[in-house]
Amino acid sequence: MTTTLITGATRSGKTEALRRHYLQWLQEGLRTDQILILTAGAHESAQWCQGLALPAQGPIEAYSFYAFIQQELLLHWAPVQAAVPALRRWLRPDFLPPDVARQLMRGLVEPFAALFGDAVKASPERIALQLLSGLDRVGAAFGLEPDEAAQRLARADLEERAPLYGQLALLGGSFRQRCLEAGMLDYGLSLYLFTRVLLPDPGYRQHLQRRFRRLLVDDLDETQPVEQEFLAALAGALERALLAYNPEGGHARFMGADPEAAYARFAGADRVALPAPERDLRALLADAARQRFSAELWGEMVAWAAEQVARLVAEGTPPAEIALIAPRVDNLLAVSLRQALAARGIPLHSLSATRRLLDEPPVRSILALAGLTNPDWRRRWQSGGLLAQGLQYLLRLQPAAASQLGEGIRQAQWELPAAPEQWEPPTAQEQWNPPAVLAYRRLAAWLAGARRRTWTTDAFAQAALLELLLPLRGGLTSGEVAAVRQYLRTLADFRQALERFGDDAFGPEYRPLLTEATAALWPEEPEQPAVLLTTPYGYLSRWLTTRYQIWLDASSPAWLPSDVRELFNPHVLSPRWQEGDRWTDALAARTRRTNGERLVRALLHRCTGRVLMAECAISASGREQEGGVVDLALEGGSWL
Amino acid sequence: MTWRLRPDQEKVAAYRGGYMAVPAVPGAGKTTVLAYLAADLIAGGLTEPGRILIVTYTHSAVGNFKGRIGGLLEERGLPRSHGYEVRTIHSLAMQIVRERPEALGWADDFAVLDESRLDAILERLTTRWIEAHRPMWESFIQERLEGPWRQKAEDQWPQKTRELMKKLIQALKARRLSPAEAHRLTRDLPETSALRWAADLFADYERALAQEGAVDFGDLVAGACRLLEQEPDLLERLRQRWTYIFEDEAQDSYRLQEQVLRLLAGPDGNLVRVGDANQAIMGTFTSAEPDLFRRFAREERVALRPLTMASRSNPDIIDLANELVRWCRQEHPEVRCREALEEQLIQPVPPDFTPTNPRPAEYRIRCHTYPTFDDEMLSIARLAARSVQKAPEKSVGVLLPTNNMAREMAERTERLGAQVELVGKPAGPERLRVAGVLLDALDYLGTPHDDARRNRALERLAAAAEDEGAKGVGRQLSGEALLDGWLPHVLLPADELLLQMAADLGLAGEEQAIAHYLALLARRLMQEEPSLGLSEIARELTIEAASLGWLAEVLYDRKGFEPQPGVVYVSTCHSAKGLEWDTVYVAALTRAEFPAMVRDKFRSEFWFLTEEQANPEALALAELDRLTGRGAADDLDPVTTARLDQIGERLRLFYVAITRAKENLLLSCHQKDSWDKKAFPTLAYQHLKQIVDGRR
Repeated sequence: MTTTLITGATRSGKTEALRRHYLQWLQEGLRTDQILILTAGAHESAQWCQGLALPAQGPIEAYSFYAFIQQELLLHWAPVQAAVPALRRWLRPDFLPPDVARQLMRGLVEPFAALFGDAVKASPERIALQLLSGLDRVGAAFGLEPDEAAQRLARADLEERAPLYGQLALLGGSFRQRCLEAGMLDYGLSLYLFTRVLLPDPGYRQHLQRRFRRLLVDDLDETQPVEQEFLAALAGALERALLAYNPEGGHARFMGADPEAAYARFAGADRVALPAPERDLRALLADAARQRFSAELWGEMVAWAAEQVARLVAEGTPPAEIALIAPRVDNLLAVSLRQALAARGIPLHSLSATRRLLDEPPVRSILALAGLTNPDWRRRWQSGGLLAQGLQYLLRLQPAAASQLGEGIRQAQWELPAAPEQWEPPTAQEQWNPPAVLAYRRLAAWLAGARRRTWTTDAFAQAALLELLLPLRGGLTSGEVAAVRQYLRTLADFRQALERFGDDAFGPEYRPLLTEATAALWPEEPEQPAVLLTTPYGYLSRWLTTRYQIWLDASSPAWLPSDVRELFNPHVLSPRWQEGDRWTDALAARTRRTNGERLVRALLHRCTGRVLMAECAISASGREQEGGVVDLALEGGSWL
Repeated sequence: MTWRLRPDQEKVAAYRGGYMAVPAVPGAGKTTVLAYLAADLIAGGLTEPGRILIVTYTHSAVGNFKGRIGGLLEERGLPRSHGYEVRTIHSLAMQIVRERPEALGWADDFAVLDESRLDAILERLTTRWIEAHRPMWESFIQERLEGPWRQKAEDQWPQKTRELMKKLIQALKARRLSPAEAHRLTRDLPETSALRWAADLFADYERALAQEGAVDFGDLVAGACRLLEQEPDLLERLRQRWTYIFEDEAQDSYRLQEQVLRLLAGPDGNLVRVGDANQAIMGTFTSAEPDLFRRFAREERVALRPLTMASRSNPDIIDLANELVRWCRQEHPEVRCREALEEQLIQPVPPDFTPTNPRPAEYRIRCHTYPTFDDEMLSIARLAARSVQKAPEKSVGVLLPTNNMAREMAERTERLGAQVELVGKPAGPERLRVAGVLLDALDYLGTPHDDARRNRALERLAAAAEDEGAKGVGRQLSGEALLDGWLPHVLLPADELLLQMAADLGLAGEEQAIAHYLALLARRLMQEEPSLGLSEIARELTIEAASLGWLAEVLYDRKGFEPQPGVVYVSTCHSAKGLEWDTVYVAALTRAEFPAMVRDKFRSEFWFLTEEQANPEALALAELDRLTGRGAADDLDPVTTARLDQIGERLRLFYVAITRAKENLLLSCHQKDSWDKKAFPTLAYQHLKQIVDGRR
């Protein structure tokens, strides 16, 4: 029962040290399935599973904490059911994907949104998001139930806003109850069932002790208090535990990470301190500040960034060694940079999802077919644009022909016209070449059959894809395939949730197939090495290191996040928060400053070459901005 | 420095701390002396550890201040942007709120809704309200109106109601009333009280904004004020950041603005306010209260340092402006308006100081009354165009009372071959022309079988290509080639297609920034309503683009505004404030535009309403003042008070217009308006014409 804490700054070799121990343990004769490896995310877990030359074969037990919990609840569902009667009717748990959970919460919030309106300027969607990511998720990370979390938030906030938190507690509690009844677990409920129900079960604890002999934990600084409690208990029960800790980490505080609590909990562990890599971070930052590019307009800043990338690539830097880092990555930034770099033959890969599934034409084609098939699936469509675009892609029509066809279908009460290729004027007829006419007839025949059938949303989309879209279009591009795949998965997730929660669970704003199509389109890995575009957190949470970093929008206040939202403050849920204290401006300012320093320090550690910095006086949304990370850089980095 | 401070400027520049009021006559060089003072304080290290915050009225004034202070600092070997910030009150409020939006219950990426979005919300709410109260609401229209006049009244009243509700809701906000407080305050008013209607709508309006996660401009300053009051730590932090607060154009300040600045300065802090009560011309459009500055200047702890000398105008023009003040105070036939202008006479600069007043060899003021409005517009356009041809080294300004007149004058002058630039609000549509080009093309691309849309898009592209002002648009390719080139991209989402179009058009600078903003708006629309097609997005954006004047100001005025010689600048009298030209034409000085007696017609009154309800805004605001304990001391009815206020404000507007001129001044009016109805010169013009004609 030995626990060792390996501490060291970013890139000091902590993960490498864990790997060496892992390999050594295997050489000593341990099996891979006797060592539990917990990491901060799926990406890191995958690296353990794929990146090691192992001396022995066997399942590698590397998980993120949430993935581990999900597996354990699946494997040990019976004791959980025994303790929670509401779950007895479900043979196994299912887990709610975030998009579905958000839509469910939105359905709950919408009838009460007006109650928030007098005190909070937030859309129902935003309120739902804060309830889920805040009260439910972070609350659970700190071991608090929704009503306990709401009470703590209320006590730290202004008195006049107390009723809001009462409402939040009710909504949070109601959501949890509905999830229990539906046997579908979101992050918060999973965490609750694992830590409060399964883990206290003596039989399960004995099982864990028998199953694992050693424990490896990477990025302990990114763990949450309930996870830390589990780790401490497990470490105490196993032969050996090795934990890697970065005193400068804790980038996921807004999601409940509590590095100070982690450090305190393992205060009695053996220590191995790794030296920090030799790097003059102050000089690196000072150079970035001195050489920074100050633009008036946002577009000038983007053009400058593209020029810098082109210069670096021309000098021989591989594109993947350049990261463009902005505090907010939206589609405007991604597309503007992509355009500017494409003109120079340089590919860009955005790590942030800036587009929706709907932005890909095949998804619009499936939606157009859905609208043509079922009147309920075209409810509240505001125009024929979606229909025309979907058919243009499906039938490979000229834009004018598609637009005219869309209008014709709407005028004909959503019936397909008999022979659009004979429409006047003759110029329109020219656009209907024989393949288009054939495709149109095939569409008409398919539609006639489809309208006679009863569909679930995902089954319809699958049929539309396989029976019509793929035969008519032939191959799809890799981006299109990714979008369609994500769409089908989302449709299945939503359909399953509806079956469990009931037809009205998503609220009146839900529009079958269309709502699912508004989910974020997650970018696929690029086919060739590309310049990266990401947020600071996106960069750090993937543990990336590049030769060049280009910090954009450096004067934006978003570089110094306080993590606090209008309805949620993760800091006051921390076990170290003094009950009765109020969240003040001094605390907010200090938090922003500390967060900014932490981000900058970590980014500098993860840059092997130079940092370039650009700011603009007027943001893309026409707002003046100054300060941000520029002020920190100009101070000279005495805090580094 | 190539100039030395005048005695009155020296007193201001000697300021080192505390509260100071600087009443400054037009042309006194207040920007210069404030910039000098700021540079002096910064160079002397007196602002440390903080900076000077300068709050001014327009984006171009922000640019001018930055330019002046930067230049002075550079002369002293200091960095141009060191030690100071210049902001409009809205940008200051935005900055304060962004420190802690969550403390106000606002999202960290809160949106400030454009006017068009606000109007759409208000239209929806007002229409619903009207339906629920139709008989009472209709009873406001005069019963005697029949036929087409009745129809006209019924067409206009809904829109006027919406505008009225908008103003009253902003008035409730300016008094910092919550919807619940407004409701409590007004619930005993009769149901015919427009204030009660507004209080009814207020809660729904706020909730509608909340549902969009948005605020309006009125919320910004109120939010900043609330935050400073509720967060003492924040206030202290900002006091450390801004150790001196300067306010320019303080006569246009309103209560919330003053409160924010007083809070930031603190009771023992440093606050300098510069203004001219005689140039208070914003009361009709904003909640500006010139009395606030007057009261500030009278406070015991405030050092009073007037700037009474001005080098801008030639002595004859100064005499004329002073005569207007004298006449107003002593002879105005509407006795109750005699306080509209203060006894603050302009003095020319003593001869041994520079810059000196222009001293032309002859009398350079004229007054002319034209037979018709059309004659007047045509003649002034010709005179202005000829003026820049004859003396291209001189600057020329043409000032008119309304935006529409300014636009018409610009078109007429342009047709005569002169280079013309619109100033201020009327310039908005000109500057946003690229938005029309992009959106008409997007509209066509969404419905490409529609030839009419294609032709409209082509016309826009062709007009933009011809226009010297729209740099880059359509220069490289023909409109046909551009549209055909974009057709294969119509499956792109609207924002991406807009960016593609902007790139193909080679847009740069401000025009590119407008395209970027449209792309952001398009993405937002697509998220709000995912079933929208390209044409519907184009139409929605076209409506929103009409209220993007603020964006045009931010983008185009950021470097300040300095009239260039050889150009005819056409402006409203309002937008001309703070500007100057060698030659100034002030046109349309009629009683319709500048009412002079209580019995005149006033634009704020609705012709179709019953006599007792003709000015519901004035009635409601007076009611609000009474309910909030701010009632006027006199016994006048609110409508008369409103008329007197407007007469006073128009007198000050006339004063502002006159004092824009450096060397030459032409005042004019007409005897028949554009409807061929008899028009009368305003009284002040009549009086000054006598003086001018006597001197010539």
